[in-house]
Amino acid sequence: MDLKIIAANDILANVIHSNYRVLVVLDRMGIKLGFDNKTIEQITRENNINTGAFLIILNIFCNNNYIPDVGKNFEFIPDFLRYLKSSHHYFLNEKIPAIQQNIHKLVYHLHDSRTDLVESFYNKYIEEVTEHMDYENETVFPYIEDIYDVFLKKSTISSPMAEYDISIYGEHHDDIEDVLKDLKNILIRHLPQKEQGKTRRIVLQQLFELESDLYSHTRIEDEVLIPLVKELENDLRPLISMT
Amino acid sequence: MKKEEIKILLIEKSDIIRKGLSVLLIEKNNTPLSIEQYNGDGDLLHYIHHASPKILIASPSFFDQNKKQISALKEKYQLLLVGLIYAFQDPDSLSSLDALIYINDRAEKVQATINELLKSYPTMNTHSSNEPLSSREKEILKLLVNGNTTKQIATALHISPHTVNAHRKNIMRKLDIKTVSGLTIYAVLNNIITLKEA
Repeated sequence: MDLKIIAANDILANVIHSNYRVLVVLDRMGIKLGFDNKTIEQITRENNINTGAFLIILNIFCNNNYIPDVGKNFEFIPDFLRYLKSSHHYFLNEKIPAIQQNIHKLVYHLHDSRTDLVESFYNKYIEEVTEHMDYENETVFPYIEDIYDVFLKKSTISSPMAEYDISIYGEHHDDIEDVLKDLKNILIRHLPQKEQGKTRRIVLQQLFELESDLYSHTRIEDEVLIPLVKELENDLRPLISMT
Repeated sequence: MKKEEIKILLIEKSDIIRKGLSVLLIEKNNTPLSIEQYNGDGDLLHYIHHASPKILIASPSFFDQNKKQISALKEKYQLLLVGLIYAFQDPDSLSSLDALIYINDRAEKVQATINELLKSYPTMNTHSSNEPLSSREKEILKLLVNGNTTKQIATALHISPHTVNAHRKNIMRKLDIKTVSGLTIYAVLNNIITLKEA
């Protein structure tokens, strides 16, 4: 599928018509529906969102082949963080628990003690994802906010920058993705065919949605935010040696 | 049918080694290859996206340093990874690679390594096949989900760790399950192990 790149003068309503999944992106950025025929540029301005950052998020979300180029646009950082934080909240408090409930329902009705393993498999997944996202919320994002403040000259170099750098971050996204893929396959190929076709179908649809949402989330972290923070670190490093 | 050209991306700082190996690979190879060379400067991710190679040749330390990006790319493009070995390497660090080329390998050996890899290429490309697990694979699966390491399985079955890894990859490919806990569920559902053992 060769998709057109979404641009600042596109009408946001049309973007939704061509890919309704972007509704969650608007939600995460605090954009309210009812925006008539306004362009992306107009809407982002009204909502105090950086247009460039928003376009990168939208394009990554809509197109797996899109290669983002953020250069040294450090001013994108706050909106990337805003998006990532609010999608963490959505994953942990909405999507993942909703799937958990359905898996419980599915397993309960199968009346086969062996299938309980599926539930514990998913629960273990929740633990891992929660741990990973907590780490980002509590350590990685505050660090990025700190050095962004230094960049804005709102604060001077303090201890975090000397102790941490962004390359420490990350590693186990891939394992987490594997767990989700395995769960899908177990439901598609291996779980016995009994009743509960409907719940099973719903769980699978939810898992596919979660997977693709997480995929663009990870791309925003790995291909956009982290390279940008590395650039910022490089620019700020000379300041550290001066202090 | 026209054979499709296979793209190889060769990442190596030394011009002599990179260009030398590139010549060796092209010579006498019956599969059409196109070799992209990259000396390690600039953004790798962008480079790979544009070159979209099927095989990536680089030093093990390169794979190690870019672990996260590489495994994402491996997944996305079904990349095959070949380690270019200069010196002693911790065997654990090589286990994720698909083949190895040693700096002292003769030309024939290097070509044979790549040809062997290309043979496996069409099957690597397809997702799980409909072949059932062989009895040997079931045996290995059972040991694996019972918490044995590759080494322990190799010792128990009197085979090399390398063979165990090959079986393991095949099991994961056939079932399309990559985590050990996922394999455990499969094994229990198919009565390969009991719920108590899990």
